[in-house]
Amino acid sequence: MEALTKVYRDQPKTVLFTAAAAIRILAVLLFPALPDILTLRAELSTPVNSFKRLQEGLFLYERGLDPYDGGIFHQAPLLLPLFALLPSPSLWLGRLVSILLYTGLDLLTADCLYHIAESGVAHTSRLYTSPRKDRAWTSLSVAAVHLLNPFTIMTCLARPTSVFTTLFTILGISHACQARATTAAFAVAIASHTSLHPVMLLPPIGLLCYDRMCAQSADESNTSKPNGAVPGSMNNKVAVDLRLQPKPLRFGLQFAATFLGAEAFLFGLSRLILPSWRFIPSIYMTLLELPDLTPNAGLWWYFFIEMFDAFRSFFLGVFWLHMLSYSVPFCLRFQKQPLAAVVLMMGIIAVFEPYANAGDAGAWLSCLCLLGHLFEPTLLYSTLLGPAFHHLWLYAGSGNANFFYAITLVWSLALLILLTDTVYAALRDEWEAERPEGKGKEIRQM
Amino acid sequence: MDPTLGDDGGDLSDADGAGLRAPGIAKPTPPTEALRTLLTRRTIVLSFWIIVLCLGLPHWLWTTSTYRASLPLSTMNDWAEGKACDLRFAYPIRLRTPGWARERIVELGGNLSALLGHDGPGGLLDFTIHPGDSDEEPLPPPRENVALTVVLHAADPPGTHEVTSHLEPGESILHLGSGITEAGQIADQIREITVPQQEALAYVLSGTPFAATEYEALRATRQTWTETSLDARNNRTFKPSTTYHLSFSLFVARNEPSAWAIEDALAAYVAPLVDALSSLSNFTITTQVQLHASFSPSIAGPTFDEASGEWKLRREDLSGFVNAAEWPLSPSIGEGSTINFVLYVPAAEYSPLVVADTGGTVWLVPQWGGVAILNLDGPSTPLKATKATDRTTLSATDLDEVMLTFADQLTSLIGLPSTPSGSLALRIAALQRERATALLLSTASTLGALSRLVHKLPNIPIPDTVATSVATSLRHIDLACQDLRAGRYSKTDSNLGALGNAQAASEASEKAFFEPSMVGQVYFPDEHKVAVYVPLLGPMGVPLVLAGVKESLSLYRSIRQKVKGT
Repeated sequence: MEALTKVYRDQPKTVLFTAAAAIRILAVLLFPALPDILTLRAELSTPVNSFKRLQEGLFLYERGLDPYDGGIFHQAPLLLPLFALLPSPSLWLGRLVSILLYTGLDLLTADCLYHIAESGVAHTSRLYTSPRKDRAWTSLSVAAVHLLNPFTIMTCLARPTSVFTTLFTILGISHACQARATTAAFAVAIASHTSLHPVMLLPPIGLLCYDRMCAQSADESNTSKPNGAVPGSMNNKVAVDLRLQPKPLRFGLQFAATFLGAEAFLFGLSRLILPSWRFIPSIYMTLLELPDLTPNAGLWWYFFIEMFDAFRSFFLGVFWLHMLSYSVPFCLRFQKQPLAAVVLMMGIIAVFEPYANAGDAGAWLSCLCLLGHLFEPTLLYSTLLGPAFHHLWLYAGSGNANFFYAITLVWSLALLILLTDTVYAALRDEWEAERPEGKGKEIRQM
Repeated sequence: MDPTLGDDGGDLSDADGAGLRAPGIAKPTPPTEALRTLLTRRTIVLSFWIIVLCLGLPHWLWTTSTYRASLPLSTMNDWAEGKACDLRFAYPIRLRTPGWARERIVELGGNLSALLGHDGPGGLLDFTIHPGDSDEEPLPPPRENVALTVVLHAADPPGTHEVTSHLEPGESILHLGSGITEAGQIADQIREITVPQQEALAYVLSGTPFAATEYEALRATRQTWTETSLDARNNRTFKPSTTYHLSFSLFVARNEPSAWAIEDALAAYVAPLVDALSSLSNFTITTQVQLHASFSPSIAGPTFDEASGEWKLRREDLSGFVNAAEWPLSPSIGEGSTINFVLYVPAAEYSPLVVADTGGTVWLVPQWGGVAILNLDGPSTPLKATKATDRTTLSATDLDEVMLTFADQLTSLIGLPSTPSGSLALRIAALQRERATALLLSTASTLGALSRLVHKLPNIPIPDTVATSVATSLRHIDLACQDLRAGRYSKTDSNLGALGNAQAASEASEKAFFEPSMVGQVYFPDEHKVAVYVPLLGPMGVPLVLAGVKESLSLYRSIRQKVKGT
C-alpha cells in the first residue's frame, strides 16, 4: 500500500494514464457489446466520423475500389491504410485492438494538454499576466479531466474518427505553445485534412504561436536571467529589443504558407493511395453542402430538412460565414490571452459545426479546464453537471425528431452559456488586471 | 449569445458606487477608455461588417437570384396569333393523258388550273397541275410528292362515252373514263375527292387564329351534317400520337376456348393495315387471353328474350360491359395511347348474346377501343366443326369476321377519313395533312401559353433546357409550315416532312411548357421571403447594426471634436 502511494506521489502522470487506459480496456472486456452500441448512437457518430462508415470505406479500399464510390464514406483517406492494418472489428480481437488504438490517441491528447498546461500559456503571455494566475489548475488535473471525462470515454469506445481531428488540433496547440511554428502548422493541416473546421482555428493558433515566438526571442535576449521564471513574463521588467522580435506579417504569411504546403502534400499523398480525386468533393463538399441529413447532436440538420430548395445554398453560406466570422474578432479581442482565443473558438466550432457530436464537445470541455483559473468554482460545477444531466435525457427519449432536436437545442444552449461565461470571465480577468480595485465587485456592460 | 461576443470592448464600468452615494450627487461618468481598447473594438466591429458585406452579400445575390434564360417571346406570340405563317396546303396534281397531242394537254392543263384556282369554299388547297411529260405506260414513279395523279382514258374503245371514274386502291390515282375529257368535268371529279378534305381541314382550323377570315364567313354555308360528322369523328378518335399500342384481348366467360389463332389472324388482317399506316405512327401489338372473365357487378346482365331466343344486352350496360376492375386491361404502356380490342366469348348458357336494340354483336368505345362478342354455339352462327378438341381453340376462320371488324374500328379510331372510299392511300394522305395541321396548331398555342406564362410570372426560373426546347420547337414548326405549303407531307430520307416536323415541334413545346423545375417558385410570394429571412438573420443582424451605428457615431463625434479642436 505504501509502495502504491509512493508511486502515486512520484509518478502521478503515469498512474493517471494507466488508470485511464485501464478504465477503457476494462469497459470493453466487461461489456463486449458496448462499443458497438455506442458506435450507433447519433450523438457520438455522425455521417462524417462514424466508425461503421469507416469500415465500409475500408472494405472497398481493401478490394482496390474507390472507397468514396458508395457515397456514404466521407472521411480522410489516409486513415484507410492505418485501419487496414488492424484486424476486423467484427472479431473480439479486432474490437479490442481498435479500442487500444483509440486509448492510445486519448493518452496522446492528454499528454499534449499536459504540456500546454505546463507551459503556462493559459495565464501568462507576452503582454499580459492574469491576476488569477495562482488559481490555475495543475497540469495533472487538466489531463485527468480529459481522460476521465465521460464524454471522452464514450467517444473512445464509439471510435469515431473525429478523435484524430481532436488529437491533431491539440497537438498543434501544444507545438504552438512551444513556439514551433512549422510543426504547429503541419498538425493543424492534418486536422483540417480530416475535417474542415480546424481551418478556422488557424488565426488563433497563429496568434498563439507568434506570441510564444516573441516571448522566446525576448527570453533569449535576456539569457542572464538566473531564476526559472516562465519566459516572457511581465515580471522581468527588462527592456525587450523589439527589433529582434519576429515581424507579425512575415510570420503570418509563413504560417499560412506552411499550412497550405502541408495540405497540398497531404492531398498528393492521399491521391497516391486512391484511384481518383473523388475524396476531395466527398469529404469537403459533404461539410459545405450537407447532403446527408442524419440527425445528430448539431443544429443544422433540422433546419435543412425543412429548408426550401431555393434558399438552401444561401443558408448554408450563412451558417458557415457565421461560424467563420468569430475567428478574427476573437483573435483581435484576446490578443493578450491567445490560448483563450483558441479555446473559445474551439467552443464556437463545437456548437456550430455542421455535424456536431458529443466527442468534440467533450474535448472542448477538457480544453476549457486549461482556462480553469478563470472560473468561479460554483459556475464550473453547475455548468459541467448540466450537460451530463442532459446526456441522460438524450438516452432516455428519442421518440420524435422534434423531441430530439429540442434536447439538442438545450444541449447547445448549455454549451453556449458556458462559452459566454468563459468569455465574460476572460474579459473580466483582463479588466481586473487594469483595475485591481474592481476585484470582486459587480459589473455592468455599457 | 451573439451580442456579448462582438461588443465586449472593455466597456465595463463600476455601477456599484451609485448605490452608495448620497442622492443629489450626479452618477460618476465612466472613465475614458484607452485608445487601444477603442481601436480594438472598432476593428472587431469592422471585421464582422467586412465579412457580412464582402462575403455575405455576394453570396446572397449569387444564391437567391433566379436564372431566367431568354426566350424569343415575340416569335412565340406571332405563332400563337397565327401571324407567323400563312397556312396553305399544296396539292400538286399530275395529269396523265396517254395518246393526246401536246397542245391539247397544255390547254387542258391551263383550263383546269384556272377552274380549280377559283375554288369556292375552302381555298386552303393550292392546286397545281403538272401535265405528264411522257406517255408511256406503266406510270413512272411520281416526282415532287404528287398528291393525286389523274389518268384520262380517252383513247379507250372509241365511242364509249363512259362518265366513270374509279380510284386505284393502293395508290393515289384517279382513273377517268373515256367520256370525261373536258376541264369542267375533270375539275368536278377532282373536287368530289378534295372537298371533304378541305372541309375537314377547315374544321380543324376553325376557331384558331390561323383560320382566314374570309373562310370563316363561308363556314356558315357548309352543310351542318358535315359539321356533325366531323364532330363525331373528333370525339371518337385518339389524340395524335407517334406510337399506338394495340392490345387484343380474349375474355372467356367460362374456361373454353382457352386459346386463339391470333397471330395468323393479325398477320392476315391487321398487319397490312398497320404497315400502311406506318407513315403516320408506330404501332405495337400485344395480345392476351383471360379465362373466367365475369361481368362487372354494376351492370344488369343479359336478359333472355323469348321471341328471338337470344340473350339481350341492354344499351345502358354497354358502357359498363368492360369490367375494368377485374379484367386486366392496362391503361397505358409507356408513351403513346393504348387501343384495346376486346373479344368476348359468352358462356354456353348465355349464348347467343347480342345487343338489345340492334341485334349486333360489335360496338366501338370512343377513345378507348372496340368490343366484339363472338357467339360460338348459337343458332345464328354457321355450323363450325364440332369436334371436341376444336372448342378449346378459336381457329383463324372463327376470327375472320371479328378481325375485319377490328381493322375497321382501328381505322376509325385513328381518325382515318372515310372518303374517298376507294383509295386507302388518299385517305392516309388526308389524315397526314389533318394530323400535321392539328399538331401545328397545338404547338402554336402551347408556345403562346408559355410566352404568356413567362410574362406573367416574373419570379419563376427559366432553365436553359426550356430555351433549347423552345428553339427546337420553333425550328420544327417553321419547317412544318414550309413543308405544308410545299406539299412535302410524309417523311423522306432527307427531311422529316410536314407530319414529322409537326410532331417534333409538338413534343418540344410540351417538354418546354411542362418543365418541372419551373414550377418550384410559382407560389412563393415576396412576403414569404420575409418569413424565411427574418427569424435567423434578424437576431443576428440587430447587434451588428446597432454596434455599427454606435461606432460610426462615436467616430464621427471624435472626428468633429478633433476638427473643432485644431
